[in-house]
Amino acid sequence: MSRKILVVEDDATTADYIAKGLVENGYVVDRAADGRDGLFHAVDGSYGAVILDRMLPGMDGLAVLAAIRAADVDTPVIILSALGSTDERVKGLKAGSDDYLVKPFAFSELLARLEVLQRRVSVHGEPVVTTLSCGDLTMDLLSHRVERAGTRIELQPREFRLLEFLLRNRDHVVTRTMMLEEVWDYHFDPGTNVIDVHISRLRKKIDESGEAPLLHTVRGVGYMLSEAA
Amino acid sequence: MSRFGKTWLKHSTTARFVLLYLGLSLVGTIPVLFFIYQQTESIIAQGYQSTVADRTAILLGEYRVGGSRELEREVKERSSGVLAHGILLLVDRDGRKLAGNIEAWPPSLDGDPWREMLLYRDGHNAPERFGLTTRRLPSGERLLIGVVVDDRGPMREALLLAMIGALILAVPIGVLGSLVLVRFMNSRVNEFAEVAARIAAGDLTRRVETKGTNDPFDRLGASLNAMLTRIEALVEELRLVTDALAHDLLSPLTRIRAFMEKVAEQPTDELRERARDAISEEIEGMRRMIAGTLEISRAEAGMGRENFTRFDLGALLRDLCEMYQPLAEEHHISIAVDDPRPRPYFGNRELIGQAVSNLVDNALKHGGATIRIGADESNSAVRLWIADNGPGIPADRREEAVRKYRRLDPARGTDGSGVGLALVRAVANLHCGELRLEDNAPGLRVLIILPRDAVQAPGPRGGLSGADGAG
Repeated sequence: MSRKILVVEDDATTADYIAKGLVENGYVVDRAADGRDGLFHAVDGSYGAVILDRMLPGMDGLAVLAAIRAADVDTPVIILSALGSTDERVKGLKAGSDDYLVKPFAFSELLARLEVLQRRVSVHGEPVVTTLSCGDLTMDLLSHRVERAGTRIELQPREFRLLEFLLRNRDHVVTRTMMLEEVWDYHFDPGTNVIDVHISRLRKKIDESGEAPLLHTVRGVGYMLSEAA
Repeated sequence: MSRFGKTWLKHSTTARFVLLYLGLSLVGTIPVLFFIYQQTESIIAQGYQSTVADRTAILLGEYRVGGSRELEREVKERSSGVLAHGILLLVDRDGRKLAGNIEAWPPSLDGDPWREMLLYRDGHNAPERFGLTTRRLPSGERLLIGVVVDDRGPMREALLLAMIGALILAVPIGVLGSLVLVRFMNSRVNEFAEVAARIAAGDLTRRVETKGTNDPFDRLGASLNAMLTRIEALVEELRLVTDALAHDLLSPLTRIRAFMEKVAEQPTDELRERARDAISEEIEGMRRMIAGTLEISRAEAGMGRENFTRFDLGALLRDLCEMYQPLAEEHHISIAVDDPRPRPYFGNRELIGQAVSNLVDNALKHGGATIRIGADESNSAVRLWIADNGPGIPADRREEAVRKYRRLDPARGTDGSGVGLALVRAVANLHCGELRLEDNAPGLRVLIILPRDAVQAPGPRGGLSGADGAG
């Protein structure tokens, strides 16, 4: 998968912020400051992902997206937008974006989402996975059986899906909103630390046996399932 | 009058109205006067004609009895005497004058039943206008009989004078009438204008005085007042919102600045980290509040209907109950869905989800030890409720609770964006539904009524109806 990312953003400070973060995380970044320029670069198709601002001079972000898709380029696109209402998100997703991130956002959230997208693209075409694991934690997707070091763990259906999502993104940070979207399929903001409580319950079940903890809190960002501390 | 004259000129509408009124009264008067004139004229003319006809009949009678000679004698006698009030002329078959009081047969005249023309009478220097008729007698002579018609001149004059008099009277009456009318209307319009001017100057409490007569001005005033009441409420709300929004946005900004200054003073790693977390949290709070506010404005503007889909409301309630379950248990609160059967509904799933989530969140924060989520449905609507057994909200403060940024208890205001219930109401309105706060005895029961056919009609803006004491 290409580590080349196109950032289409007219605000120089935001573009710098994104580009700097991406470079620090090993990506190569191309930048475009308006819609036409962005479209020109994007249809070349060599990018691993496009980060596209919704409101751009010259050509609106959604129009750029539509043009990219019309040109049969299926590069994953993340839309950045100050228009944060659920309807605007739905509009963005309907227009063909793969993710929609509302400004102001934390870079870690953007990075986490970008990496999920990248993996989604790379697993495309690989044989269907039936078991997921992290260290001595295993999940059988067919029998819905979860074990830690050979001991069976009973999970509620929602806990199972939450763990599955974490396992699929093993060693990568997932944010609270990503979990809300993936596991519950809601895009609104539940306000309180609803997700945190679910995680802490899950943590009690999988990390209770005194072994090395697998479910880590990444401060200010979200959670990560990983063997490494 | 000078003041009036000035305003009269200034207010061109008034001037135009007066002119119109005047014009109309003239248009109404002139044809009537003209008709009267015409009628009078024709009656007078008939008088002349019958005089001539009478005289003709007498002379022809003489002719029948005594022949040409007798007629000639009669004409001679009548035209020379006192009788000569008119003209008479008898000529023989060659046109030579036999008798009469005019010089000769007028050349252009032959066989007309009635003509008017200027002729000279014997012994008169000036021509006079005569109405006349002619006859050809069986023995070849021709007879002319006429009367002076000039004497209707004074009559005409009198008539014209009368008409002019009527017109002259019509003008001031018209002007006066229209001025009275215009004045009356102006006084009513001025009342409205004055109220409008006061309101334009910022006094939104002014209202038009209605007299209860139900005339058009009264009805206009009543609807104007209704509009003003609504505007006043909106402006008041906007003011509250602006104040509260400013407060709620400026406070986190102030705290952020404080954190930054603290870090600048003591740039230790530990403090930097703490400040970073705190600042992120503040920013998140601000983001949430702005997002909530925008969501409300959108819903209030009716946007979001394009994302209506068919979904299961029952499943949504179960999802949310399950989502909040762990959090509730942590606070030793029991939460359950009463009748969790599937309830298909066509609406905006995300916004309804957001609304229910806000209500559950509120119940967790301010309610008691039990939260019940429930729904029932009829053919026309689905009703959702979230009930707690906490302290509830007194009936007289429920309307206030729904307003944006109104936190009933300032001490509670530390978390939550302050837009919770307002958003719920906006979402209900978007679905042409209604939000009700009721007494759960004890506690608060929030009811959302969602009509089934909300999509086609923008419908009435369902507001908050305070169902006092209902449960």
